Amino acid sequence: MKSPFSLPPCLPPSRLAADYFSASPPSSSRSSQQGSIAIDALLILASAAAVAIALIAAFYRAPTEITMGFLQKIFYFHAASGWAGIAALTIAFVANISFLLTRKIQLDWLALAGVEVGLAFFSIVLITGPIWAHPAWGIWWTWDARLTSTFVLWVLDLCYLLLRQLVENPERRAVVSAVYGIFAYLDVPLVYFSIWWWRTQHPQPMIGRTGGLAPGMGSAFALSFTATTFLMTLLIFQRYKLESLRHQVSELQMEADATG
Amino acid sequence: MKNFNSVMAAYLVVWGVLFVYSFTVSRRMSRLRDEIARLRATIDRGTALSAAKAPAGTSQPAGASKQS
Repeated sequence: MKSPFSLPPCLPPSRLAADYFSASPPSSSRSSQQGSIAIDALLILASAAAVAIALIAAFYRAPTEITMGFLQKIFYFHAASGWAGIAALTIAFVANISFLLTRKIQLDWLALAGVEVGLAFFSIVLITGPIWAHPAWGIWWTWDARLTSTFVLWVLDLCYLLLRQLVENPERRAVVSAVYGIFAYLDVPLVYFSIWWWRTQHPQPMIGRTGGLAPGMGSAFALSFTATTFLMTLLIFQRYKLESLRHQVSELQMEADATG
Repeated sequence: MKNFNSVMAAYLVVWGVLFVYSFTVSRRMSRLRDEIARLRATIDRGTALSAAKAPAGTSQPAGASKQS
């Protein structure tokens, strides 16, 4: 088997992206395979470098927060995972709308990839949040607006994946899950704005409106957001490729049945 | 260092979830690649077999079954 870490001969970036999200399965042509491996290698290198730099910035460069102390270090990747989750779900939302307009099955694969990766990042948010809350608040969980809406979003995304298992016809499955995905995304603004719309126990945003970050903290946050963005992109690409391979298997299965 | 364990636990969760997820995706991908190789071999075998069975001069080239 080919190593995903081996760098293939160079192709222009526009060609690489076009090959990656092409209508044909990734292994159908030599150039698309090369493009796919090149994108993977680039994303793996970029993610690894970004994560290493973000960790160094969070633990060594950023000052220790006065009130929370060392516990505040959790925020660098807790908040960044929340951002990556929202970004992944936004990609899924756009893909779902585009699918309903164009009926291109590749957009359904992209939506599925976005939701699954979003679910992974929101799982991180929902586990690391209580790990921070227990020493900070004295409780693991409280049903306030931010926490509840995030949990509801996680359940809605889980239901999206379960719904896909229930519908067998691929076209019908794509339509039903696109409609459901658009509906489920309505919770995202609720999650984001809940801390402004209601009085919540969740800390107020440190970047932007009520800001006030020490210089080292701001750059550590920016770097951790960049790192999770790279990771999110890498995972979405991988998940999309998996769905494309699954499609290829079902096509070959039909061909094999016809051949006898 | 106060709350060191909580911070370490949180970071373990971050990398643990991402690692497990990417590991399951790559495992599923490798299974599908194996399945594709197996199906391609089956199709090639089937095509060769039908070409051998057909009388001389009437055999179809590989991949013709897809178009018919």
